[in-house]
Amino acid sequence: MKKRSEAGIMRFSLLVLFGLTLCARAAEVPKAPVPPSPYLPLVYRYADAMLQHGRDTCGPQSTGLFLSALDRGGLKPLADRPPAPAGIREGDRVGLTSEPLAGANPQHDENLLRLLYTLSELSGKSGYRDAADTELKWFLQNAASSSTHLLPWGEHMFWNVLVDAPQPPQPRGVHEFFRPWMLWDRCFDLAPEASERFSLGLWKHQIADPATGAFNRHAPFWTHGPVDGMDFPRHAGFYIRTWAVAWSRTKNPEFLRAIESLLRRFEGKRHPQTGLIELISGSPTAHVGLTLSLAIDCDGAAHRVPEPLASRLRAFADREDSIFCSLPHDFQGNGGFVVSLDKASAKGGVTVSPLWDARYGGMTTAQVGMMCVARYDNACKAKYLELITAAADAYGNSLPDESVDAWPMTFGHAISLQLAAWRHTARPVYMDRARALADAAIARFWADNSPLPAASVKSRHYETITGADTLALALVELHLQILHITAVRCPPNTIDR
Amino acid sequence: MTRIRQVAVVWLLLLLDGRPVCCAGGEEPDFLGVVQRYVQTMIEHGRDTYGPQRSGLFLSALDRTSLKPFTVRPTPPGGIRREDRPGRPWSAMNGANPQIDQNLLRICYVLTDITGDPHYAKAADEELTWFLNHAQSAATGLLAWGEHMAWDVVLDQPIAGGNDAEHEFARPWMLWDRCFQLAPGASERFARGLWEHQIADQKTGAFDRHAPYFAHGPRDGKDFPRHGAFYIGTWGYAWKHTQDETFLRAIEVILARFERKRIQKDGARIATLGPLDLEIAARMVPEPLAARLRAFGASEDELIAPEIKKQMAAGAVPQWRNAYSAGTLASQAMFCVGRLEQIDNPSYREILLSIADAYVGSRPEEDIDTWPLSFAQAISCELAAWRLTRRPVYLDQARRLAQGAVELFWQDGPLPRASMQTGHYETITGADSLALALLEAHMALRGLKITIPSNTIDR
Repeated sequence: MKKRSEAGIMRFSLLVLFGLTLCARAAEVPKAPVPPSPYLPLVYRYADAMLQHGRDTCGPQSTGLFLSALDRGGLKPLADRPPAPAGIREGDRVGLTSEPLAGANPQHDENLLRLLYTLSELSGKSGYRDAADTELKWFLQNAASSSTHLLPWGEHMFWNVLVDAPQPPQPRGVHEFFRPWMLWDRCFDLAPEASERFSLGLWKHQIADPATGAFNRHAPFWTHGPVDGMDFPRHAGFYIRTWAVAWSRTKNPEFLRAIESLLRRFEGKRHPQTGLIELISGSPTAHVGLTLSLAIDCDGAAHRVPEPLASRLRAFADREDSIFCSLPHDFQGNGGFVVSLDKASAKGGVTVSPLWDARYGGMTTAQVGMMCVARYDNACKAKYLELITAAADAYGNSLPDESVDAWPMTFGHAISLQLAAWRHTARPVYMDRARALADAAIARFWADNSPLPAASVKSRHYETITGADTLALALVELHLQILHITAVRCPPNTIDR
Repeated sequence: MTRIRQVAVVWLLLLLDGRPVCCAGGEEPDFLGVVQRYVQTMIEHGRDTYGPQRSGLFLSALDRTSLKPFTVRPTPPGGIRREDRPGRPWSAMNGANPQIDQNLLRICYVLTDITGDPHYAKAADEELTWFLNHAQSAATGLLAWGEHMAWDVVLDQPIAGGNDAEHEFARPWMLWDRCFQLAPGASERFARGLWEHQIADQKTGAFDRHAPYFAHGPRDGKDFPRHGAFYIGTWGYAWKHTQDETFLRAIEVILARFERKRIQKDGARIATLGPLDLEIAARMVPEPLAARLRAFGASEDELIAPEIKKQMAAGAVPQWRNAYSAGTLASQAMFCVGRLEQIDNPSYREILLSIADAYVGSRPEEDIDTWPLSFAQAISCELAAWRLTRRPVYLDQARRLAQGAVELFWQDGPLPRASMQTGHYETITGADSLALALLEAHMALRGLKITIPSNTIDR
């Protein structure tokens, strides 16, 4: 360094002084505090409790599967059958009618599994991921029907951890998806042959007519016997997504044929005037909630398959976007999303989504709102943002009244909906509401000392069919957004559809 | 301002401009129009007129609806760290960071070239002049820019995104020639400050990419080669404009450091500084240093090309998902483009075309919070492949990607969104690079000859 002259030293000193002044000026501005986020500890507590107490160590085989219902006080399998949360059918629970709930249903717990992968990333602890991997691997390799290769999960089946068998037993078991399965890539990593077998089983034993794509959402689990019947669009989307991943992982052209068959079926179902698709074959009603779900899966599948099929899938989704966005969704008063209407006129027979009244076969406003989030985050059509913010606004001052046996899932969706509105508008009111809804959810579902959330506002037990996992995922999403953490990305809370 | 008034401002802007951003009926958008409106909006609404000093700096984040600075800290785009954003921790983002707006400034100059209207270049000149003359630490000569610092336009002071005010380059700075024209003294002070206050040991060249901004205190630590190359580039310009041999010595010291570091303990060689900034410097400095820089760069080529091919074969690089310190496949293509603009190299040509092929028909994966930068580099990659081969498939894909990017990021507004899953304007994710790519597409699609700056600085 050059030797400094006296004048230089003086100049240097003045510069240092000026620099220190700048330091001082910077220090004068009060630092904003780190925003509080009490949500993650609650989620860790839930996950830790499930890892420690909620896995199958009963019966002849300790499978490690997560139980989908538990005694929240004793943190052990339920010895009885508590009353079902409002809107839940007895036949959909993880216990045969009149028997205790002692089942594992990975589809009910799908967001719990996704949550565990996220917690491993957040914490750096592999235990959460290992537990999820164990469940997937064991279930795929051990639980499938040897005849159909379908899995005892979803809407009507489960693995009974006490007797270690799929239930209901032969010949009653019916395979039906409960949600789209977003974990296929991980499944193919862990158990590629079993995953491929299931995907082929879905084609051969769920679809009644490969030529027309006719199917029924219910298919016999134990033996071959698919029928042509209740071909709900939502389920078609779940199958298409499954086969798209299967094709991308195996390159077995059978899966492209399967996708093409179902896509053609639903392309052909559009009403010539309105473009609406029937609820099931022969129905005069269109359910746009279900076809929007199909659109999400078609667009998702398009990323995994070659042209020209990919473009056809995208075109299908695009058409659904146009139809759904053109409907008169109105959130004033008791309004909500239009979910079903007359197929031919697109006017009569309109039903709209409720804010809080969740039930089997229904869709709340927040639930449909999250489907709009799925489409906006991927297709970015501005109309969806209008719908997202309008739906989020509908929850502005709303909490379920005491007569409603609200589900954790609905709170989870309402929180994630507010967060989506916040992400896309930067209006702080949405973040404030997300926090308020999270606080209200915690007060309702974690009201006592149990680490596990209750199945509903009026339930005392744990049962994931009502979306405890979805609520936990929403709380993680909220935490990440409050603290601006992006190195770990929360899975989209858009699979309850 | 009420929400209704905020919306009215945007609509007024649309009406005054007289045309929507996107054409109806799926027609090809007017890419030049999109960029002009973006820049014009920034000039009218996105410059610092706040606080005691109206610096005229471009804000690096804005509310796209009100076209005003934020009163909150919007949600970060996926993969962006909170301490890298243009605002104080947990506070409203009111920062101007010329390094993350660098391609916006370069666009201003090009728009003046294209349109003949000097007001674009004037805005960029005003930013550079003001920033160099006011945002420099009196103690270190370093500037309040880069990875962790910005100028707060409301408080009118240098700010850090994290707890410490650390100087770190975010990108190579390609505007030194203009800076030395506009503010020669300040530019030289910065270059000297980089040598005296970023480099911890002027014999060994030890440094840390982070150096205290407010007071002397360089450390020997994370001497990422990428940063060493940015320094060499800076000193090359400084030598060119001052002929002060200090800058040659600085280059020599850092070069020597990485000549040593290239050889591993087991004798294996690894790539370090990369060739791009070395070639830039080599064109300005005298021999024998220039030859030494070029020789080093040539050796880097031998190491880098096989490494990229290896990564591509392993499928290790994502096509669309961007994040802090994790680029996409197209970013590797843009490195090749940068190098091919300097030398002929069949390996880089092969890699570039292979990556361009991979993006034909490609679109972001499901649920990815894609950045404008991902599109920018994919578009520029396709255009580079087209320039090399004249195969229409590349130009068509560039057009499709550009059109898609306008629909996804601009939607019906004059400013692009920070990412697909956020709604605000924030340049850290490469809105400026995307606009540059749109200009490049405009020129290619219309066969125009005006030179667009190379979209290769996001590295």
